[in-house]
Amino acid sequence: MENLFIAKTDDTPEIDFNSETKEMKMTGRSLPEDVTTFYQPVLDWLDELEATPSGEYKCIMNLEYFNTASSKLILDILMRLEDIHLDGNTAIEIIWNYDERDTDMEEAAEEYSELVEVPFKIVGI
Amino acid sequence: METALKEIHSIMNDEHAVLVYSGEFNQDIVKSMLSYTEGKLDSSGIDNLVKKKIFNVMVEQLQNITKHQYVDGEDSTIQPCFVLIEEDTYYNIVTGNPIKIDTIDMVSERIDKVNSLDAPGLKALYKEARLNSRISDVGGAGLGFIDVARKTENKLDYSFYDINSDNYKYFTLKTQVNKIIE
Repeated sequence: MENLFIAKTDDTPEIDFNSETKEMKMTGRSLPEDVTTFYQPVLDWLDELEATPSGEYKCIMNLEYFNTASSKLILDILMRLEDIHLDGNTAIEIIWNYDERDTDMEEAAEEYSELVEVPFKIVGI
Repeated sequence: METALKEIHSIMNDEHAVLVYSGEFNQDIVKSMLSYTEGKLDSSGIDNLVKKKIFNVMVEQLQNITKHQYVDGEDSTIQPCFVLIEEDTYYNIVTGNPIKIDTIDMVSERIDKVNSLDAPGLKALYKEARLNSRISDVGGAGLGFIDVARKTENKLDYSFYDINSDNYKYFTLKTQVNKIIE
């Protein structure tokens, strides 16, 4: 797997998918005008991962905020991770970190965890 | 000009306006408004979660305008607007934009539906809508009203005003973020 790195901006998160550490990290805020274009490389990378048995991968979410359009794409990402995990070739673990004061983000993480059959840890920091 | 300025200033003062804007909306302008508001709210010492909710509602309402503001022909003099006002126990977030008359029914239905639901109902509606939605041509997911209703736990207040146009009315949306969250 190649690495995928997209630097953070005011309205898009940092994407740091590293094939040495086997961590997929998304950090920051997501409110781009065009979510489809922004997240396409992420979805493409996940398609590649699905075709490449890779042992174990951790997905670490450190999202401070995301708009409703992003929430749809994040669901798409998590569903792809579920497919990968259930295929049995790469074990996925999702760790969702959130600011412990942000009960809205805690609720959003809980709702996502109910939707996908992947080991899912929700951590208030 | 001077009278108008005095009136505007007086209204803004009396109403405790945090931010008032009228004009074109695009992603850069939206980002500036968000950045300005965050700064202002940071120094006002309000609760972190309240600040987050205001930010959230602003993003959804402002991006809605950015996506749906375009008006053809001679009606394009009517500008969208945004107002953030601080009241005693809540913040009022108000947006206005021209809207095509033939979309009014759809918008009203959506908001009325959202207003008719309680928290569990909104959660279920959001889940279903998100699963079944696709990103539209203008980049929206059709989830904004539901999300704002969930985050604010208040009803959405809306109106359509006549603006002397055959094809457009002016849509205003007012939402409230409480200063105290239970």
